[in-house]
Amino acid sequence: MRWFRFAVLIVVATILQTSFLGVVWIVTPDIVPDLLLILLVFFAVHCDSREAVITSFVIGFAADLATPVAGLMGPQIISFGLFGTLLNNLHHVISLRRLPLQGLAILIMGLLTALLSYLLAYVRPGTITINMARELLWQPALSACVGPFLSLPVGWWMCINSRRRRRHAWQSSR
Amino acid sequence: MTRLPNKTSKRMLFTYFMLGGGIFLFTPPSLTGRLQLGYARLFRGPLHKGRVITLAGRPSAAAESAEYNRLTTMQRRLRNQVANLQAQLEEARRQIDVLSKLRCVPEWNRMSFQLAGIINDPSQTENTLLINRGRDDGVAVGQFVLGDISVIGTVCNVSAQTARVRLITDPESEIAVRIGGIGAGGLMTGGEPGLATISIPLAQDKGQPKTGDPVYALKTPGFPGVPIIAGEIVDSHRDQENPLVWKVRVLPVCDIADLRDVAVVMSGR
Repeated sequence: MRWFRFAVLIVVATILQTSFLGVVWIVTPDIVPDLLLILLVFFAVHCDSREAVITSFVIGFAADLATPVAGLMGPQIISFGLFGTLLNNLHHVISLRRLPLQGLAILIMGLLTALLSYLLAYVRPGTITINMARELLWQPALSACVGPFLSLPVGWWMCINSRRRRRHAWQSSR
Repeated sequence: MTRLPNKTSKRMLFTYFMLGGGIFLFTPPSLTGRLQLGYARLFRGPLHKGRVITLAGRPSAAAESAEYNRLTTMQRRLRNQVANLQAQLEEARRQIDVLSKLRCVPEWNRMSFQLAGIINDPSQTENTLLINRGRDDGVAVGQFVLGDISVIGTVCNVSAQTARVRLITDPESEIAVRIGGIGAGGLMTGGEPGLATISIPLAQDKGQPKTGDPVYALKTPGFPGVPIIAGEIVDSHRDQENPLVWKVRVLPVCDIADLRDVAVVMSGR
């Protein structure tokens, strides 16, 4: 795992999510794809267990910086970390490398992480308003449509595909 | 080359991170907010550029939103409503101005008036006017119609929302009048274009009608005995066939051609 490239990727994705992504929207300007959710699924599927845990929690931390739920830090750290780890465990059972399955995984992960984040935010006192349709449907759906197409460029940046090819070549040569 | 064993297992790593998340969750927002502000401060350049590009990239986003369209429609309706109310206010002020002039004669205080607009071109229809008040507004046949605070005619025909006014210059008009200078009374009828005629039997001691003497309409329906000026004498002469009768020609004091509104004396109120 190339951690420096991972850090750069997360920083860039956080900045894009906070400001630039407003150009890409559907229906209303506040429905934009969630880049950090897409990266969460990508790393949960393409990394081993330890790396998946670390990347999931780090991406959750970045999500709390970029788009905090009710201004709090912590809900997305926990929800991203938990469901990212679970997805990685699931990937050992069901391969999620195929693009349609990754899209489905993004949709379900978006729904689950949003639900858990808002539930955890309710633990803290204060009024929270949630746009149910946007958070639980439109945004995960848009992310699921866009996400699979980002696998290649992200994989290229992280050298995950080339590393896998070298590993397969080494294993087959044995 | 053997791999070094990991010091921390995956489970412990997961547990540590979950604890860290829990700590962040229950840390006061005033402290965690500093992290968020620190992020915004550290990357304020790219974040600001991104915001500018985002806003420039959706010039018609607001226009396309349903909320914007709804507000625009509401604003247009309110603007039209304000324009209508302003027009009504101006019309009311004008009516007040006209009515206040009508009330300048003390004897008219017990009269009530219905303001009406002229809806035809007086020059196109000889001796008649069409007004925009009718039976629904209390207008009835025989009521006096005033213009420029003078009698210009009587209502001769009424429908639900309009009425026809026969001017005093109409040959079929008959109005009881009194000449102001000598106090003699008679019946004024129309005849020559633009003029009315009075035939008055005069006694010798009453004097003769003089040019410029005012002519008052009497027997206002509903308000008998309240004189209202109708015209002024242009000239007078004795009738050739009956020397005891004076033929007086009267010019209406109101210029019908420039008239826009009239007031109907409501006799039923």
